[in-house]
Amino acid sequence: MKFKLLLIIFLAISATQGFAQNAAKAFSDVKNVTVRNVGIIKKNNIVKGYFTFYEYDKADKKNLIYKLNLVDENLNDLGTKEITGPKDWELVSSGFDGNNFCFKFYDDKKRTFELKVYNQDGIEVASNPLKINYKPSSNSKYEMYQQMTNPELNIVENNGFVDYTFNDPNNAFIISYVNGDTKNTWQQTYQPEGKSKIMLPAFLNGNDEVILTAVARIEKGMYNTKTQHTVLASSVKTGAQLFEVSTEIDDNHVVPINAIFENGNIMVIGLNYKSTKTFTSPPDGMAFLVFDKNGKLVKSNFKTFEETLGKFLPMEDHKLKDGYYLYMHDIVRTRKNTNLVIAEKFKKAVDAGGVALSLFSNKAGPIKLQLENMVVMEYDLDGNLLQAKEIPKAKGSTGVFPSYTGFLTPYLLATVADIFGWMDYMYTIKSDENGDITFSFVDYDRLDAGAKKTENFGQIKYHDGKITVDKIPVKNEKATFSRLMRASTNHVLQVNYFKKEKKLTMDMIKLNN
Amino acid sequence: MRKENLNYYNFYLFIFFIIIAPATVFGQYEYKNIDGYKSFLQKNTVQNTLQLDKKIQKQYSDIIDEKNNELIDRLKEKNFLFDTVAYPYLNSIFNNVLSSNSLDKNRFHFFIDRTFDVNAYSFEDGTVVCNLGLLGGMENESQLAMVFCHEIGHYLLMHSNKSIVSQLNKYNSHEFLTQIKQIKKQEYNTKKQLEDLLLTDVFNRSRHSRGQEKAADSLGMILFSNTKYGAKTVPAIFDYLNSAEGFPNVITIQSFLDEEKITIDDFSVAAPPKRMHFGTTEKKEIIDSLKTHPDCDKRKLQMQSFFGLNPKTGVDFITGSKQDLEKIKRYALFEEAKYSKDKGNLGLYLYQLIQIDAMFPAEKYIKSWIYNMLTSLYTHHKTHTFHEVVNAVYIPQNGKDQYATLLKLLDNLSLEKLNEITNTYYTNNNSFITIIKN
Repeated sequence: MKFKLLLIIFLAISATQGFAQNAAKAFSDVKNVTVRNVGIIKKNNIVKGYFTFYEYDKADKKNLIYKLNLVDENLNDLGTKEITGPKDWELVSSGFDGNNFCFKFYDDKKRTFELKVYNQDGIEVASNPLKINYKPSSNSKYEMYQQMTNPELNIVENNGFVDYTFNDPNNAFIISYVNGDTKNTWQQTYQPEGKSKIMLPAFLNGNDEVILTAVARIEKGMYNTKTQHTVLASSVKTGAQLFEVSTEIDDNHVVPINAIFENGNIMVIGLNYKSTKTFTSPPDGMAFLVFDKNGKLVKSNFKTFEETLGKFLPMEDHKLKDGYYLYMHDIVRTRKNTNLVIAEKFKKAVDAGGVALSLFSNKAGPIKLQLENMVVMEYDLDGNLLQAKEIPKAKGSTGVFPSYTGFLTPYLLATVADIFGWMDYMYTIKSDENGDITFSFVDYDRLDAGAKKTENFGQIKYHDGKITVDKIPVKNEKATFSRLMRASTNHVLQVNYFKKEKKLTMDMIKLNN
Repeated sequence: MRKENLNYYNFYLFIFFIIIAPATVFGQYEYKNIDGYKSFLQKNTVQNTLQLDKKIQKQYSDIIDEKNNELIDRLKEKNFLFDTVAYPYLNSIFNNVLSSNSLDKNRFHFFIDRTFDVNAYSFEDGTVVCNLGLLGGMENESQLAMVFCHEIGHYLLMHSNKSIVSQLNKYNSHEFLTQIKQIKKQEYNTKKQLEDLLLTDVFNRSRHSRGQEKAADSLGMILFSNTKYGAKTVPAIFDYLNSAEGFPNVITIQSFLDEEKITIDDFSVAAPPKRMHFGTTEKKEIIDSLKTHPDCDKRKLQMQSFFGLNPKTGVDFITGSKQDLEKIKRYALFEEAKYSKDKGNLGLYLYQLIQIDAMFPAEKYIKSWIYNMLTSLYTHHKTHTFHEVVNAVYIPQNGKDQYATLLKLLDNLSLEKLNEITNTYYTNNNSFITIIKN
């Protein structure tokens, strides 16, 4: 299971000054704060620091005075800003585009998301508020959408921030943009013709001209599972649609995962399916599509996993041996100009026949996915597999699915498990110069031969073609509880609480690889 | 033949580290009269408390007791040096100042703090402390004597006591308590107002402290005039205080790596990129030190003016000689490094050893220490306890800060690379290395 990254801490720091009791009490009150949100400041996949958002004082009847404190990736203090805002405020996520900080706030009472941009002097330089027409917590469908859409801010290098919000979740989403340097802000609604059963936007990349969004959509229809995938290009200056291009090429159905700007063109890297049912069936291979800046397809290249993976992993009947599947979590470009894929091996824990019998006997069959090794694959730009490495981890399983999901395809279950955070892959991090790429995962195993099984944090590191692994236990032995937060490559931030000492420590643990 | 000699050399080194060195080190951080000192502090606190208004007696004694306990704890934790080299030397200069001014030695205690910070400080009970880090820039005994005179000046003018009593009187005053009451009655923005009140107070205290520093300088110069030391070089202390960074910086990390023929991919020793910032950083407590309040240039001018009007001839050495002081300074460097090691700050210890090695290249045993420290860091890295012994939260002083460069380098190294560096260092220096099993 993934760790809950959000940490709510109540800090009670008492002043130890020995002066008059009244004064001492008054001043110790100054230091009592309630921490509302703690999170990571990221610049795409690079951890730049952490924020703490806490209640400081009452401003008036409706508003509170908050303090927003930032520390860098080494936990050095960067500064604190006082902000007045509504009582129901939450700081959802944050980012740094190389020049400015952006914070995404949500006011539950007014149902408003707001992107606020601060420069490095702590001055608010731009803001983009958006009122939504539904309450995310009021409806399970909306909650599901919240989970399916990445809540993190998307960063356009040195060129602002992009965020996706649903208005009517099935039929439209809004792209919000804000730039602290140019003070440019806009909102654009994306609403294709016809009703949709599912519609999901995902940020691919952006530069000073264009923002690329991958849109996955299933048209309305009770039994319809056919997906349509497009790449949407929006002008960074106005939000106007520059082009929208389908990634369906002949009988290839490509799910875009990443996009790179290269020589005036756009290279889209994705997973290729021979079926339109990309949510329910496993991918057949990798796809590399090159579009010009007007969205015209210049080049395409498709490689099946069978022809590439077979050299490295045991295959049988066009699949991985013993009924295993690979769930592709992420694809990133290395500085060697290769593409790195992180995947997780899984299979259904109970076969369909068994589940069917349990349905007839009115017993709920435990349906879950068995999660096994992580797999890292490196491809060249033509889609040839350069290396594939299995990273051993103990067999684990996802949460239990309802028995009626027994007939669903394993890949759909894996998609759902991923959305729920049930898979063992956690996140991808890059170093500033893109020299190191790390993939993190959870493992429940013995770290040494004689040791007990523990919940461990694992890091796979890729550095110029070399893949190494290191693991540490999640919990500090002496702490009452521990949580891990993502940190710069080679590190993980361990937050420990010691109940007896009423002490909270933050240790930046250096990993061995 | 050479090999045999080297083996003998290693053998002697081994004997030195295993038998002789621990024997000489034993007890040098232990204060033998700790019980006597404790009673002295208690008695002093009682005497001072009784002279105060009853309203603030308890608060005053609580504050002083807390300070006393902390001081005793620091003594017990071996943070001070009571060796047979530096301590007698510095104590003798201190005593010379006392006797030249007919001050009762029994009212004073002199300690040496093992830290590298360039500073000296004093307490309300007559305890004067000199940091080892201060010695680095001292040219002679006269300068040290002037520093001690300044600290004794603080004590004689009862600066610490007066500050505490004045604060307590203020916090108990009707005016202050009414201000707090009024703020607390309000519903909104109370914390901000209280914080502002506290900040105003801190600012007032700091202004007061500037006045105290000036007064301590003035009395210090009078006390100094009664000694047999000469004042010619004394104002130069402030130049040192102004420029001192605390860490020695005689070799860059890149030069060290080049000398050892160690290459590291993807690592730039160039100044770190511009740090991100976000408005103002949290206000830090005001720390009094020799270098602050008022600034060093002004204090230097005042001192030059005083000794211009009241020339003070004399000698620069009474207790020892220039050579003796140089030995002590060198000894202090080793002690500061050992203190870092004892406190578990192995990143700083490694940095200090690299610098000491560059300063004294003939002392080959330092290479042994560097090697053993690299292996120790390797062990910590392997067991994921590296963060416990290498200080990651460090703000570089400037773009050339070599300690920051070393920390950045250590932070970038994989376990494999650290092992490679350790092995390379061993290969380059194995004739001088004795492996210490830890």
